[in-house]
Amino acid sequence: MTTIEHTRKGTEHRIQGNPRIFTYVVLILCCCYFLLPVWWLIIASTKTNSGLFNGIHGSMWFDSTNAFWDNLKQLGTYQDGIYWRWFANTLLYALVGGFGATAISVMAGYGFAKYRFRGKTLYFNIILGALMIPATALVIPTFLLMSDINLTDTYWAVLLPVLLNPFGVYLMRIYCSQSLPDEMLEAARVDGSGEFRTFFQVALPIMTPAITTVFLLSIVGAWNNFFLPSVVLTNPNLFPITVGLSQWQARSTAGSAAEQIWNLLTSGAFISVIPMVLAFIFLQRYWVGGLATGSVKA
Amino acid sequence: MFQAKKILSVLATVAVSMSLAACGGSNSTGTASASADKHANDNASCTNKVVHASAEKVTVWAWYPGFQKIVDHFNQTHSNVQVCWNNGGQGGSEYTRFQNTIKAGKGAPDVIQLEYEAMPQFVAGKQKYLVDLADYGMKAYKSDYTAGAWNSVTFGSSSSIYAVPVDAGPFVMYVNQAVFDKYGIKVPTTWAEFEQAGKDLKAKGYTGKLTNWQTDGTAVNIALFAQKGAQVYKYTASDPTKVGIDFNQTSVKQVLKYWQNLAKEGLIDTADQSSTDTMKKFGAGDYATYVQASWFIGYYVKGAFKTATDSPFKIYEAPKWNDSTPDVNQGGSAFAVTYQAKDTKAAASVARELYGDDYAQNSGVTDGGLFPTWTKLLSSSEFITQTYPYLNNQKANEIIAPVAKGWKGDQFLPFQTYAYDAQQKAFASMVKSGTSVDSGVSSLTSSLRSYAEQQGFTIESVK
Amino acid sequence: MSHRSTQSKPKRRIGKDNLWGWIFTGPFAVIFILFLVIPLVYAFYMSLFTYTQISGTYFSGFANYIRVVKDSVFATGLLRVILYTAVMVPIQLGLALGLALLLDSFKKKFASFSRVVIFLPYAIPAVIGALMWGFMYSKLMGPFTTLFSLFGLQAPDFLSAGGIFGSLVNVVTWQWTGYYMIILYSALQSIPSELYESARIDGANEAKIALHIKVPMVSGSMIMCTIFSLIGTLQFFTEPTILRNQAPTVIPAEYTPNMYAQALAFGYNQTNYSATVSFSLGLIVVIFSIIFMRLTRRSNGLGD
Repeated sequence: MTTIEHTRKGTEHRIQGNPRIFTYVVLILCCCYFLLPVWWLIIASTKTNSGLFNGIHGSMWFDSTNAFWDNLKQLGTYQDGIYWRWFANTLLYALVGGFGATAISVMAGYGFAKYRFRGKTLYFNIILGALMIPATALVIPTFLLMSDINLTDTYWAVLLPVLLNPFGVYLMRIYCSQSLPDEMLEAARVDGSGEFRTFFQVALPIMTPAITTVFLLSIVGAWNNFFLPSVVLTNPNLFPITVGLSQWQARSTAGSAAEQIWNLLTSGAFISVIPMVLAFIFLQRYWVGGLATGSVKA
Repeated sequence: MFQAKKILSVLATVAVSMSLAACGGSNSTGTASASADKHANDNASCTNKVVHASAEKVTVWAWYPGFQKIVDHFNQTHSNVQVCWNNGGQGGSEYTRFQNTIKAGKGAPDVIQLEYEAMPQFVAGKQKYLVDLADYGMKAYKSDYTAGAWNSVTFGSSSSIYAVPVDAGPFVMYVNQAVFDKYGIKVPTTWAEFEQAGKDLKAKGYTGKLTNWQTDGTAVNIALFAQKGAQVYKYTASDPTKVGIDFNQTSVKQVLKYWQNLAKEGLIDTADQSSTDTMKKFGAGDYATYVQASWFIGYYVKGAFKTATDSPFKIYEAPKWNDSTPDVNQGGSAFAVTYQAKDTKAAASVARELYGDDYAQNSGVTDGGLFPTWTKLLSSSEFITQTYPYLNNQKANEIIAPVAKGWKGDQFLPFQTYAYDAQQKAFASMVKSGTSVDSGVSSLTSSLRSYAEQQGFTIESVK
Repeated sequence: MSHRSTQSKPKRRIGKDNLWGWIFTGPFAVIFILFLVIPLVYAFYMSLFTYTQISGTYFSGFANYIRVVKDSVFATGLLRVILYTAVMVPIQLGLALGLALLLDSFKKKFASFSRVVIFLPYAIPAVIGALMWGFMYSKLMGPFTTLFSLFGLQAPDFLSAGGIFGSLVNVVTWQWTGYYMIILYSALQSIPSELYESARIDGANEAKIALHIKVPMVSGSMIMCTIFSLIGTLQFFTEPTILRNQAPTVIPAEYTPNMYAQALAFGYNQTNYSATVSFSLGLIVVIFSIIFMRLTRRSNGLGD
């Protein structure tokens, strides 16, 4: 990098000349790499089962016939259209679970940042430690405890554990300490505002960017949830998409009494990633805004 | 502090209830006990729609293709009892779920589909989790099923029956007729001819492989050993604390050396069965033969080709070692009644009657691609003369049905999943890292035996 | 941190603080206890028992822990994930940091497009991501045979014993780099630009600014990302599990400690020993993280 202009005034600074081409090349290569599997999925979702194996243009281009709408139709009829039920379940788990997890994390983060209470340091350190525990260690005991209170095979079995989001608490705590001045809360209190009213009317509006981020993080977590639901659910009517599709994959893998539904697997996977991808594209500024808080030194 | 105490008290309650649940089993006589609650399943949620809403429900887990039709047929023809069906997962994942419901002490279905090889793990040791159907008159139906299937659900016992056989996987050879015709080679009937056919094909310029030996194959390798008269696993219901494990037999080594040698000569492929590449090669004509169970038609052959006329395959008898090579089997499953069945008697009748009539059996064959164990169907002329479009309209059952009838049954271990995983690793290292067959089988045998002992079993001879 | 600011509060507030602090953090505590503390204690309790098919369940004290220490399968898996950590963490974070710096100083439309694209894989469930790569790694169905032949090369055998390490590193890099990149990018964006101006006036070039100003400013985020990546890799599970469906002889059931725990619990019906393995793994992860946090104590902000 030799031809960089560094005397330009103003807050904008630019890379120019050869490095600019270099930057473009790097970014284009990166985009190709990160989009490659996505492109594959788009192509695969337009193929029939045998087209996936014997498509005349290979795996990265459309087959001679477009079977996307057929696949969509099949998704609507296979096992009485259970795929759309899974889709709706995933939405439910992600939105309700994500909302609950966010509410709880925001309250806890605010509590940690703005109140001095007994046991706080220990409590918070335990939460940080909790980030390190392997999920597998908890799945079996959780399952056994849930079946003890008849919670398995219910929506609750998936929704309740999703509410736990220690990282969200961590983010909210740091955001509150940084962006929410104590003086502001004190002023509200002096004006006679109760603790809850202060929280809802003074603190929440300022916390909005971080809340959005935690909400998105929780939704992604719930949307990707796989391991625990696959253990606590038996009734296919309650499955989220990830569990349903992995069951279809097992169904398609060689064995006695198997049937090949690879085409439903690829088109189902494609449709299932659309909502999240759209959410990412349209809400990206919230990501950048909110995550900055957690990342700067507290 | 107050918090901690509270948690511990909750935990103590949980712990006590768990240990009580664990003890509950040992008080019983070792067999699953009967119960007769006709309303326990009234609120069960089912994948299917029940026809007679007020009738008693029996819950069933099964993953057979086309099972919806079977369930609907059952519910339409029975007014006093209705099947409430869910797909509890395919094979292994269903067993895991079942295992979990056993740990939890509830949540298991009344009737469950189990592969023959998966059954011993649920009737071994301290408590049996499957109901002995001999107590529900199942003995009277022995002649309805092939000998091999019957032996597989009774584990060599004459008094106990742990499931109702549904399908099996008679072991046959799929032949890519186009390849054999093109190079003018005779379809082999013995393993010696099989090897020669591979050499001839290669010499004449065939670029594909003679076949694929699946080191990740599980039951397929047991079938290959059984052909040579070798039994590697032994477990009988009458002696549930003993297991036999022996790969260290001359016949097993001969089979493995045969395949290892074919691989060394470059005549065969050794790709994992479950990889999608294997399927692709199959469809592209890169395999001249495939030695596999009869259910392979429904799965691979249909999946690999766009239309039936694209498929060049036909079925032949599996190659033999000599005239006394037995008919063998790979896979198949049955309906068992679980110890958690709410109304054991009703569950037992559902298990038997689901595939217990002509309509269901025919649907199993045509919609499900299952190969029947029902002797009545196996000897019906319609079944024998049925043509398979994906096999060039061959009357394949003429070849498969005798194998199904000739099969004598197999035995598997109460920890078959573990054994299969160990088996896969051992066989893969024989073709991929050049481990010698002799050392491979002896370390496989000793590691499986020590696992069995650690699980409390006594080792017996497999003979 | 927040303590310092609260120290100035009048004394009379402290009792009230105690109450309201617990009221606000209470709902989280309930969920935390129900779905983390109790299952964890229960898992530990389970690890003190042994189950065999013949004799059922019995109390065995720390026998399972002694078995773990001697278990060569566990040790092999652990070494493997440590190796993965040593390779994967630097690759992911190096790439993430490089891209974040690039995007931070390259303010074009194309940059914001790239940012979304690089972050996109995070939106795709790990299960589906691994499934896609599994298909693409296929020699005959994937694009790589064609892609490599364009350059006259032979595509590597992704699903072979020799290739699987790189293949898995690639799946994880694809899935997570964007996430770390966004965290670092956000941190870079929040650095006040006046800081650069004086450096520029002093004649520093962009590379120097990046190295001497930007990188130190985001070191806290780097450490946080490293810890996440470290924890995630030691618990490696989803990707190898899904790829195992394609190549069971290359990825055995006990490939990583977490997979081993899963196989023990769900395949081999050894719940108690599985709990021991998980517990031991958790302990090792905590130890690793604490060592790392100690080493970087000054700048991580997590030490409290």
